[in-house]
Amino acid sequence: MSASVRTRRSMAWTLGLALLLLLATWLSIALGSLRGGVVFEPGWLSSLTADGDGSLHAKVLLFWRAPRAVASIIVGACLAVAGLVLQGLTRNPLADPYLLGISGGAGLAVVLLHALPALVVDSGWWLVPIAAFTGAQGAGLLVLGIGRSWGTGGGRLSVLGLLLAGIVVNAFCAALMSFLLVRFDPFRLRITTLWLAGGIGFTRWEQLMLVALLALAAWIYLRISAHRLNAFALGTTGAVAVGVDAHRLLHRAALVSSLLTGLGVSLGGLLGYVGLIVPHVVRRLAGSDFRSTLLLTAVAGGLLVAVADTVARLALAPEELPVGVLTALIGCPVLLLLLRVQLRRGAP
Amino acid sequence: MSHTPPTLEVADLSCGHGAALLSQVSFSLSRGEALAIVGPNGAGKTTLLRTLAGQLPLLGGTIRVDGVDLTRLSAIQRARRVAFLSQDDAVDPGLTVEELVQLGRTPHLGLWGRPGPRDDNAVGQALSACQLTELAHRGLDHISGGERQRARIAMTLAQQTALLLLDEPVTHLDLRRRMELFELLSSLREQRQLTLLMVLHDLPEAYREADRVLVLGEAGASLVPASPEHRIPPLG
Repeated sequence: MSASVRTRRSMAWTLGLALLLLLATWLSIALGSLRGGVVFEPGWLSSLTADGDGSLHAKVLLFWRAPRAVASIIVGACLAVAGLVLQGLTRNPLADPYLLGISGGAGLAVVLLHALPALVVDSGWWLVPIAAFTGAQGAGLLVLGIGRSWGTGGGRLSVLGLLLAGIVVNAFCAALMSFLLVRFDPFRLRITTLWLAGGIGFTRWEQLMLVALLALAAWIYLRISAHRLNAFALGTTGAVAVGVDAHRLLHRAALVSSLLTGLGVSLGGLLGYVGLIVPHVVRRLAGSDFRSTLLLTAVAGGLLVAVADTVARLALAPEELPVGVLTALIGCPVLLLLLRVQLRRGAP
Repeated sequence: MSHTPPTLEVADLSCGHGAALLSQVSFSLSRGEALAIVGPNGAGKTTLLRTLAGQLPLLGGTIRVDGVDLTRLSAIQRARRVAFLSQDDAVDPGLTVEELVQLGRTPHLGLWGRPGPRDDNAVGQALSACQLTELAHRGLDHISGGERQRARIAMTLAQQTALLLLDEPVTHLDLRRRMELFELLSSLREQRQLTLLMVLHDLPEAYREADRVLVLGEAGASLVPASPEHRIPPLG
């Protein structure tokens, strides 16, 4: 398949999935649970216009279902794009924010914040994304630092060193989170555990705006770097030979991936496998050129989590499943399949 | 008589990984000239080539490409003047031949990385020069070792540089493929006035395929002309 055909195919898939995403968002807001059953309100937009935003029904739509639908899209887009970039940088199809310990760092920072409940009050909503971002960046820097010390010499990173460092950092963060959680009271423990299992709950519009703006800035940086990220397919030496400052780009793109992971975790908790499943599906649909896959991955990630969250919200209504349960149910078989393919190819 | 400025001028060069492995290396190459670098293992052949490519820091001396000091150039500016093919083939086998060759245009692309007609032409010409047009949409894991090496060379041609540095370009190829690759390089030198610098292991091959040979040994670097009496008739 020629490059121009792949570009056209990628654009067609992006457009198609974007339309599906619009439909999924509309359905996510239209579907709700009432007295233990599922209700479908196809006229939610007109009823909102008629009622204004003063009625209880309007408040449920405007401040509960709609922000949650938007949050699920942002979470999916952030995690999927972070996974796409990490897999491209490490040239490892199994690399995702979770494997590299970046989401663990973000989760730890937010759990640490919840351990100080006085800080997480109404006026401190903005602290959650900032904490997740800081935790993800901290874990990212730690992984890069350890990976560099295990590198191939000259302060350079080896792919294997990076992945092993990620596993160590992830285990360390998980241990610290467990240590903090045993000291939580039952209510906070339940809330935090559900969030850690991948739960998109109540989200403020202000928080969504902040996260969306930061995610957009990160995406633009990656899009501008896309043709240089493609050069990592030549290996680090090959990328340098075609004019890419490979080591600087590797560090910056890894940090931007940490940012996206932190933003995703701040809204959706430790939602696993999105950064693994979506990039694989996208590469199968449209090839591996970052210039055409970055947007498609964001749309596909948003669609996956938007649909999964709607199902998680309604499947056991009035109880809610953490959306992470559903993504894990899809992701585990995918991971097993990928591992099998890798082992058959003779990967160590 | 017109004087053609040298494409590559190396003066008192010292290079190595931290400590100097080679020092006081000087030579110059004119446009269309080919130089082979030979020497025993560990003599510093690859280190010299990687330093010339800007992949290793220069420990001393100067490198000028078309009269411009290489150390003063950014990575992109350098890649527009010097193409380098490493010994290790670390290319993702999932790429197609065309996708690989397109990566050679990386230093010429703008902010959003969209290729223009000039980029498409350069890729088309590089594929055609390496007789790869028909294999353009084939995956790298579905072609032979010789075709794959030709695809890598086509990528460096798409970079449109005057100087091409090749680190052991024929290693792992059988005799027939080696001859084909050298024929290709020879025709590219003639058609494009490419200046070639190749690390080779085989001494007769070096004398046959280059205009001059840089021999690296314990006594340092010495430049030997590959005069006709040194040449061995082509095999087959």
